[in-house]
Amino acid sequence: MFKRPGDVARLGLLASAAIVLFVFEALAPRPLPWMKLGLGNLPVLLSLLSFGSGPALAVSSIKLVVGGLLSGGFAGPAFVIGGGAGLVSWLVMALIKRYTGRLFSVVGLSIWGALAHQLCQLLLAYAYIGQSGLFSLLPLSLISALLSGGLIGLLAWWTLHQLQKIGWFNRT
Amino acid sequence: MAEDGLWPALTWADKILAFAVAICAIGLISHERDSAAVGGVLVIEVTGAEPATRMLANHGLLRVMGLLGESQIEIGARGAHVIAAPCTHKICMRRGWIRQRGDLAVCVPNGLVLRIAGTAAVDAVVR
Repeated sequence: MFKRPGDVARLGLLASAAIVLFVFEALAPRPLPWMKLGLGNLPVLLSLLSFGSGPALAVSSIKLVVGGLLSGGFAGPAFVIGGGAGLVSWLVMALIKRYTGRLFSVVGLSIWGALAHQLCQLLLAYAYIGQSGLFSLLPLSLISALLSGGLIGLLAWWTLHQLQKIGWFNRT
Repeated sequence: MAEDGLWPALTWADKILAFAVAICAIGLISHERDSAAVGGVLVIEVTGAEPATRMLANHGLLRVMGLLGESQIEIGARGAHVIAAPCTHKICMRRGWIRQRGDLAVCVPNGLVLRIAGTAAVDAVVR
């Protein structure tokens, strides 16, 4: 898991970035009420690719708990739905990465994560309020997952290139 | 990952996945569009209560008690929209007017779903 000196610090940096992006996105205006880019997922994806699934879960959990506390939604329904969807998204990305090898790139992984997030969110919202009318949001959820997952994936791909240039992956 | 260099930006599997998701979304949207029309009825669903309906031609203000408190819904010439809600993020209010059949406004914290349907025999008043 942590093979190089400074790995814990690197992971802490990613967790901090995840919290900042999560809170920033919660405060920023959205193009559509239900649409969220999922910027906080970028450090989770970077952790998954740099350190593996365990550290990525740690970053995701820290982001959800601290971000939820800072944005004032901790333990509310939106937190439970968003948090549950975030954990399922992590699980799907970790499984896809583990069992499909290099079949999917960073962008594909991110799209899988976004799809899992959106679908789980709908299911949890349905479990919470029990109204099947929610499923008419399914097409919009799919489009939202494709756009946000694709954008975050490309951003992660670019970020990994930049991190490689500054020696993020060097064993020093 | 680090030692082997970065993957290419997109693999063929990524493209198939993106294409499949886009086709599913477009299929679902076109299916809804085929049956879409200006709706005549607002269906109000609150967690733990039977759904109620209200004709969109019957303009006025509705007060609905949800899990957190009272939501206010205005029905006017442009359809229906939530004008007050007890939730934190007010996503239901930002949804704006709903008018077409199948349109939806949801307030998860308050357990409220507003949906536009075609016609209904019953026009219930909800408070």
